[in-house]
Amino acid sequence: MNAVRTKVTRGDARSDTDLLGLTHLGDREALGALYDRHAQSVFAFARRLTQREDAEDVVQATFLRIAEIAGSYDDRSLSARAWIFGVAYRIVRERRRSLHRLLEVLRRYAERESARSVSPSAGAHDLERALAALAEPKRVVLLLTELHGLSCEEVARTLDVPIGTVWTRLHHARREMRALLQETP
Amino acid sequence: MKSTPCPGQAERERAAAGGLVGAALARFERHVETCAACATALSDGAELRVLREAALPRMDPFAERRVRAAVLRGEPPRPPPRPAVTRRNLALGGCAAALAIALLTLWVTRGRALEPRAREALGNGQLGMRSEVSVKADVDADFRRETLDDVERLVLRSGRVDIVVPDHKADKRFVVHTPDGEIEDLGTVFAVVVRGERTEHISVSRGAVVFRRPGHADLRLEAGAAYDAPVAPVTSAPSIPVDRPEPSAASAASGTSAPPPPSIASAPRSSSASVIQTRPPGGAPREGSDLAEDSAYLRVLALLREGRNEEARVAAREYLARFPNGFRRVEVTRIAN
Repeated sequence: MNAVRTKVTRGDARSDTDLLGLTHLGDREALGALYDRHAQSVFAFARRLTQREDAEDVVQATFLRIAEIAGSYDDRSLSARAWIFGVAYRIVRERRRSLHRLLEVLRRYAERESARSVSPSAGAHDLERALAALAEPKRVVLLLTELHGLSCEEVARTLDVPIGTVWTRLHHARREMRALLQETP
Repeated sequence: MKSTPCPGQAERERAAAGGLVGAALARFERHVETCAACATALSDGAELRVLREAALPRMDPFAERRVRAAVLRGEPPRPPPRPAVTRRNLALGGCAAALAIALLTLWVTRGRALEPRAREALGNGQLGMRSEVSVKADVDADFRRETLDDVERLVLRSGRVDIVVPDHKADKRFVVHTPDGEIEDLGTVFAVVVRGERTEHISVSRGAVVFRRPGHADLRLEAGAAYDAPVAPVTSAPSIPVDRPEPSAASAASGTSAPPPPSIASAPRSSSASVIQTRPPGGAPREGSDLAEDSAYLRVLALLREGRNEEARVAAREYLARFPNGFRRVEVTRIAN
């Protein structure tokens, strides 16, 4: 039953903008449709910024927040997809506590050190470790552009940073990723 | 050879994202064919794209449905996770705390935390001063240490102390007070022995010291030199008169006696002991003379040395009132405040 419903909603012809408008009016079905379209992308994005269990909570919190603030979405400035990623990123940041963040920084540092000895032949696993070794601002830009297909302009608006900052972060992220992936033990 | 200048990062990103079309795309492609840097930059992105497609994390179907149902019910997610209490997190937290404490200590001590401290000391001396001076004392040595602004004092009543002043600083004096004089360090490793209320022996291993005694010329001892008191005991120097309170009944009953009054005080580096005069018995120095100023100043120091800080402060104020342009007004002002 759920599978059928999912299939139907995923085939929904309504645009994201329409669905957000309906969500704003309290249409739970529209919210479900948005979820079916974007939940996996949001999860993939959040998963690379947090732990797996927390990523699921981020997804849940993101769509609940979307239900609350859908009325603030303006399709003239940003695509709905980029807007949703922006909401998700804010959720990720909000859910961090200072101590947690400090530990996270230390953990990242430790992972970065260990990532330097990863073989390039390790493939996807290697990519994950290399991603984890990137500083978060660069990682977020790289994920949104390379993984989720947002343009640099959209990323800039999503993160509320200048476009030049996005280009710079992306440039450095690519260089670091390349270096990390090519390093041999 | 490059036919056109390299496109900007924006154009390269747009091309990588498929945003260039028509003539712009053709121009870009022509450039990339002849520009290794742009080709490398583009291939970086392509390389990453291939890798990322194989590693897209996905929510498992059960979790996806569970979260969906929770969203539609409006259930809030769990609160953000607290850091798990693992050995690793504890270690990381400990490192962070240690780092924070170290930084705080460094900040509080204004960079002096890393200076070596005098820790090696035996005997009944009072330690705990922040100093780079190292003092080793015999077990029977009776001494105490104190700091007053830029002068660090070691008052040695009896016994032997070995002193290392590793880095002599012009603005930080170190003076050893003995019952009959004082020894000022000039960047030194030296030893002092006091027996029977007099300075019995001084030996200098490195650097130099100046030994000052009332009624004697300054004696400068260089490295390798030593001073030994004459066999016949010298008459004790006249004391600086200090308005000492009458001993209380309690102290009289306990049999404790106050330490003997200091016979000499720290003189300014440029002066000599011969300049320092004590108040002649039976009469005060003439008001306005150098002797009067010296006497007032020495009285302040004598009170300080005895630990009578409040009286020393009062005496310092008296000094300032009598000698507003006094030679030692700066040092005395610090004491008065």
